[in-house]
This record gives sequence, structure tokens and C-alpha cells, in this order.
Amino acid sequence: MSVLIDYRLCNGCPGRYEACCEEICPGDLFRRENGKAALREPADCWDCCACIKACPRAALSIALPFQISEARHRLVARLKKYHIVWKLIERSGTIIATYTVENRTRPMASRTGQPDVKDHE
Amino acid sequence: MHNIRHLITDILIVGGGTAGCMAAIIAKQKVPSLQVTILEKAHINRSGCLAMGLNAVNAYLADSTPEEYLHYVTEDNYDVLRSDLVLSIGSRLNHMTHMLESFGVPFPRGKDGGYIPRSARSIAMHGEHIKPILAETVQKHGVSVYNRMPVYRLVRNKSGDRIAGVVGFNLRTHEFIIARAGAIIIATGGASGIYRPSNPGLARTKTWYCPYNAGSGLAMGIRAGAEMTSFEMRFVALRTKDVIAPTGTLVLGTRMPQCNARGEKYLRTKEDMLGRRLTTCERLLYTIEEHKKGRGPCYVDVSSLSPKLYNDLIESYLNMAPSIILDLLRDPRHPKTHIEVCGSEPYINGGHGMAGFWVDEHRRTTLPGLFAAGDVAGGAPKKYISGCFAEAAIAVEHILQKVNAFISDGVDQGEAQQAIAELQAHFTKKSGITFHDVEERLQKIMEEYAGGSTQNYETNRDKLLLARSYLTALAEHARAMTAQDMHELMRVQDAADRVLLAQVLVEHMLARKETRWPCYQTRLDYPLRNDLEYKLFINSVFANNAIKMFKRSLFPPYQATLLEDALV
Repeated sequence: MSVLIDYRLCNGCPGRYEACCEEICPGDLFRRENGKAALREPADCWDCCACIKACPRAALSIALPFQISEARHRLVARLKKYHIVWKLIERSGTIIATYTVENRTRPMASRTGQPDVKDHE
Repeated sequence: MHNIRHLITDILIVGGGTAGCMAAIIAKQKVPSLQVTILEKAHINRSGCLAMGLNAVNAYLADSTPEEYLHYVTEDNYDVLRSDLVLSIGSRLNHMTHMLESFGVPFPRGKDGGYIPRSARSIAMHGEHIKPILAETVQKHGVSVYNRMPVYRLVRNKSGDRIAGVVGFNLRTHEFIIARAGAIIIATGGASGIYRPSNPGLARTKTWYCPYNAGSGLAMGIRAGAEMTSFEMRFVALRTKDVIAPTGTLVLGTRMPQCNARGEKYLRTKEDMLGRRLTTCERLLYTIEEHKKGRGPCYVDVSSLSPKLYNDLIESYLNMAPSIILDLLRDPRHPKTHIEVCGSEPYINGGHGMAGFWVDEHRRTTLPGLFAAGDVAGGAPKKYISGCFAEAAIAVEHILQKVNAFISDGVDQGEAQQAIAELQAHFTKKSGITFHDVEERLQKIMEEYAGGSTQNYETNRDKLLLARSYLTALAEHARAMTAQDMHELMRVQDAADRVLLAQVLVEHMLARKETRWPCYQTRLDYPLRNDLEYKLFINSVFANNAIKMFKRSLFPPYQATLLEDALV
């Protein structure tokens, strides 16, 4: 529940061996179901935001689980060349705040900052 | 049932996190022709403790010496630590930090062009992308990286005199892996998930320490008979309540005071009274005392921060623990000014605490062929990220000096096959016991009998003896855990490893009959520090299905005394 998937935007990363979120999640919590990303077990999510930063379609965001907050704001992130841009968004879609933070002094190796590594020959 | 793939490499690094990445980079920088391989449980771009990012380097000596660093850590740790290890780390902290900066991680600079200090030994960093940058650097140096390949067993060579390989599996290809190498560096980190998490339901995994760090490197070392040290010194972090984000960002980053419910700056009062700075565990201890005396909850009061500085605080958190923003800005018109703090659940961790493998000055474990670096290596607390890098460098430099002595001579195939059979067995178990069942049972036992957060981290002999007997039964049942797929097999192995670590932890807690590090290690039946008898290490070795406990003296030759009757 911490990670919210916008199924209007998620296309399951067609043509990739794994969806980007599935590839990156440190808990191995994503898989593809019916051509869309699905979270295996929401309660096992650490809220690390790795998937949100990796999603090429901006389909993912995080919100606090209801057990610790009634506020329904979401946090989204987009990677730029030398920065990351965070947006805090109200339920209605209104942007509450935008933060731009420098995160690297050299351009990333590829668009998502994910070099090809030896995975699954 | 499953295919088996064999890998052969010169240097094998288990775990592509902080220490693992740096070990690989340094090995390839020094000897580019070497084959260096990382086996990573998740994906190297965002795995382990650094997955979220990091906003400071907490061990950087801007204007102090390695000796002063040792002095600080020794005082903070009540004299029990390996001063040789701490000193060797201290002399490399700055170099490792400069290396990190050279990879492309931004460090904000002050007007004088220097780093921006947060405290005497901490500097600010814009480390949101620290892990992808480390991974890119690993890639650039031609290191072979295998992702989604958790490792659970160490295997000896044919003559049985050294560790020659590891056994794991690939979550995506469903193959089992036997990897053999000249030298193996364990860099799998510490362990979370041993105590009950602070939050319920969907928030249960909002722990501070990476919840996917199951301490598997420690567990495989224990199974293979490696000596472990100081498990009883658990690490408990003072953190923001609910979202369990770091408080250093608040207290060091903003210099705002920590107050009780009455607005009293209780830590400052205590420091004035004692006439000295508080140790890290005392800051937690006195926070808990405020609660006990009815003066909780406790806060960091940031009400006097200017909007600009509050914004800096938010940006700083976004680099490291982004979800706290959702808490601070619950009501966006009125950002939180009183940020409640609490103790985290206890972790086993050699980077903040000092639980881990007993290593020598080259980070050799007691098992020939096997090295340990980072959170998995014991004896040197407060090393943090730069210290984990330093340990990686030290291990690699020793391996490279002796590279000819580390010719891979093959693994004992019988032992490897048996390890695979053990791991696979969970696919055919019909007990219906899941890894969740085992972890929840484990966490309940440890929480209630072995000093969890709801017990104010306190315990005593009789509770520990109960924990021991419940854990024995749990370990037996854990063998029957069922797994449906490769992901579940990983979770099953993680749960089994956590149970084993808890068993070792309880023996360590029983053996230290004093209270040396309040909260990290509190024995209500021995409430005082006993320097006469316990200014030493408590170590353990698992052999013949039993955990053997012994004391070791503080300084070389670290004389060992067997504890025949550690239990009672």
C-alpha cells in the first residue's frame, strides 16, 4: 500500500526482460501480472522509492500506510541529468510542493541511470 | 530439479552494497586483469543500506586525527572494541570519502570551499544517487555483477582446509549456483527483522535498517564455524517516530534541541550535570527515562527554524529517507515543528554497533580464504559508510599482496551438492509453515524475552533462558518451512538465517553478566558495568550443532577463555 501504481500510466515496460520496478526493487516485491506491474506484498515495502525513481512512465508514487498517517498525499520523483525533482501531491492532484535536489556531478550513464549489468544470459 | 551453474572467479564478493562495491572497484583499479565478481541478492543499482540514498558521511576527520577518532569511539563504546581495527579505519576515512566524491557524488561546499560540517566527524552529502553511482563505477571497472543471486552457504575446498566457494541461487533463471574463487569477501551487511517492528499492518516494514538485510553472511559464517564477536551489543537507533527516519539529520543538521513534553532540553541538562558529552546509547537511555518518568513524548523541536532552513531539512531528508516528508507535511500549511523521537527495534550490525565476524587486521575471518568487510565485520563500531569502504580496501589490499596464495583449487562437490539439496528441500515441504509465520514467531520471542523496544530493551537471565528454549523449538519447525517459488525460497532462507542469528544473540546476551551498553545490552539482573570481569569480548563458535561461548581479552593476543557454563 505504500507504493501506489497508477494503472492508467503503467504499461508493464513491454519489450524488457523485466519491468523497471521489478528489476530494481531491493525486496524483489514486483512482478508482472497481465502486462502490468504488481506488488507482491505491499506490507514488505521499505518505502525506499527505488521503483518510483526507476519508472519510465511516472506511474508509481508513495503514500504513508494508513496505520501511521491519515494524510493521503503522495510523493513522486523524476530523475534529471544532475538533479532529482520531487513533487508532493494532494489527493486531488494539486501539487503542494516541488523540490529540486542535486544528486550527481556527472551525467548518468543512461537515461535511467541503470547500466546494463550481467544478469541473465 | 533445477539446473546448476558453476562460476569461477579470482575474487568473489558476496553482496554488492557499500563494502562490496568498493572492494570490487579497488581490486580492479589495482590489478585490472583480475576477474572480480559480485553476487548480489537484489539489483546492485539500489540494494542494501544505501538503496534510499544517504545525506552525510558520518566518519570524516576534517580537523582531527585517527587517534582522536579512536579516542572518541573508545569512550562512546565503554572501552570494549578492537582499537587496531578502529585505528586502521580512522587512517583511511578521508581518502575513502574523497574517492566517493571523485565518482560523482555531490558534496555541498561552504563559503571557504570546504565540506559543510554537521558535527566534529560528519559532513553533508547529496547522496540520493550514491548507490547508482557506485554501481556505475563498478560497471566501468569491468567487474562481473550477477543480480538477484542470493547466497546462503559457504563451501570448503576438497582438502577441507579453507573456504573455496559459495552456494546460492538465481531468482530469475531458477538456477542454483556454485561459485568458487581464490578469495571470498563477505559483505552482506547486518541483520534487521529479528525483533518485532515498531509499526503495525502495512507499515510493518518501515524499519530504519534495510529490511532486506537478513544477516545471511553472518549466518553462513556461523554454519561454517566462523568465530563471531559481540552479538550482545545490539544496535538500537534513536529515530523519528513512525517513519523511523534518522535523527542525525535533525539534531546535527539543524542543531535543534531535543526536548521532553514539558519543553525541557533533557539531554543538555544531563550533559551539564555530568560535565561531559553523552554517549550514543545514553542519548537513547535518557530519552526512555523521560518516558518512564511521565515526561514523554520527546521531540526534536524545530519550531525556531526559518522557512529556508526548514526547506533545507526537507531536501536533506529527500536524499536519505524521503517518506518522512509525507509525515512532516501532513498538513502542508503547518509543517510539523515538534518531531517525535523513539528508539528503533534492535539490529545486529557491525557498522554502528560491533556485532559480526571476528577478524584480524587484514579483515581475515577465522575461516581461511574468507574475508569480511563492512557491517558484517565485528569489533569496530561507528565506522559508517566511509569505514565500510576502508575495510573493503584493507581486505582487498591484503588479497592482492598474497594473490598467488589464493589459487582456486576447486570446491568439495559433495558438500556443495548437499548444500543445494538443503536449500531446495523447502520446495517439497508440506508443513504449510510460511516464512511469515517463522519471522513473526521469532519477533515475538525476541521482543518479549530478549529485550525488544516495548521492554525498554531490558532483559534478564530467566527471560533469556525462555527465549533460548522457544528458539530451539522454532529452529526445528523452521526446517519445515514451505516455499512455492524462488522468491519464497529466498524469504525462507532469510527467515532461517534470522532464527540462527537470534539463537547466537541470546547466547551472547546470557554470557555478558553485566550492563555495558545500556539499551544496546541491558541485563536487569546485572544492572551495572563490571570492568573487572567483563572489559573483554564475548565471542562464539558454532560447532557440532552447539554454540560454544568464550571470552577474549581486549588486546593482542586476545587470550580466549572458554565459558563452560555461560547459561546460568
